[in-house]
Amino acid sequence: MTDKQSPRSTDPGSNAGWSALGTLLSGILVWGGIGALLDWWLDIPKHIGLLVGMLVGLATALYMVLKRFG
Amino acid sequence: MSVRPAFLAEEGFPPGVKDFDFTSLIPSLRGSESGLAFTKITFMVWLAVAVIILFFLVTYRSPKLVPTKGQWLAESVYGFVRDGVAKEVIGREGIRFAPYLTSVFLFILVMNSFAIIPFFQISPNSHIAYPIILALISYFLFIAVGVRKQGFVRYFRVNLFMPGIPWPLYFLITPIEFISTFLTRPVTLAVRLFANMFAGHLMLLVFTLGGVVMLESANFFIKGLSVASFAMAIIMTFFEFMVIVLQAYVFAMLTASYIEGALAEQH
Repeated sequence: MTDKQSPRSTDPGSNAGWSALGTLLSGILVWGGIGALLDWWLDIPKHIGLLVGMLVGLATALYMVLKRFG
Repeated sequence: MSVRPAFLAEEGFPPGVKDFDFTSLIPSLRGSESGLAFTKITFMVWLAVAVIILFFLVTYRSPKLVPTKGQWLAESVYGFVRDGVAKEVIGREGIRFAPYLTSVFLFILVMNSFAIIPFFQISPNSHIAYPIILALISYFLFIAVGVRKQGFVRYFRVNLFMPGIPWPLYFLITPIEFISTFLTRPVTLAVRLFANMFAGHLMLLVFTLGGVVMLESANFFIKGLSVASFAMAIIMTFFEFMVIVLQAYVFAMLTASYIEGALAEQH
């Protein structure tokens, strides 16, 4: 979550890497979780909600990472 | 199910969660709720606080320009956190958080150290209550810092609504931002510290108790192998020492990086 305009030269870029990884993981987890909850609530067969949720989460997270660091 | 020899149970092998429960040090209160307020665990917490306060009081009673040994030690610990963590991660503004970061670092370091100090041999941090409280303090600190710096509305807008994207996407993005910033941070902070100390204690128990159990075996070959188990216990103790220092450092480092994120104008 470091700002790119930061004048500090010591920032090794690993911060950005960890933050991107965190975004990708939490994107899949959050929307996969919401999908799984929908599965459970609406009795959707074959984990379709979980699958769609994870894909949506992955796409959103990729978009966020590209927007922030791209 | 295999038959377990009686001596296994006598030695308390295999170790489990029961090894983390301690009865009250005050015999008359044993078994009651308030008795749990004074156990080996809480004693170690008070001891850690006392040791740290005394350390800084004694080493800084009469500070000299040319520091004595104790003063040099205190100054280098504080200097390490101030320059290596606060200044390095947060920048020049970080110096005002150096006292907090140093306290947290030293407190966790001393608490963790009990894991390998003889006769204590368990860290209070292997009870999740202590890491939870420490993580909550850091959690509220970085939110308070962000709110004070940017104002309540602006702080949450910056953190929850990424600038420069079409508005319908906020339905997808804001839940992710909310959970990754305000939910997983304190949870991982607490669980990381707890799990490391819990697992470390179990590991040492397995090898030490395992060695004792093997030594009592009737089989001569297994008896001889107990040496390997004790050797592993010693190796794991050194490994545990590394984990102790590393976890204290990581906790301070992450707290600093969350504060830095709260202070940053934009992401």
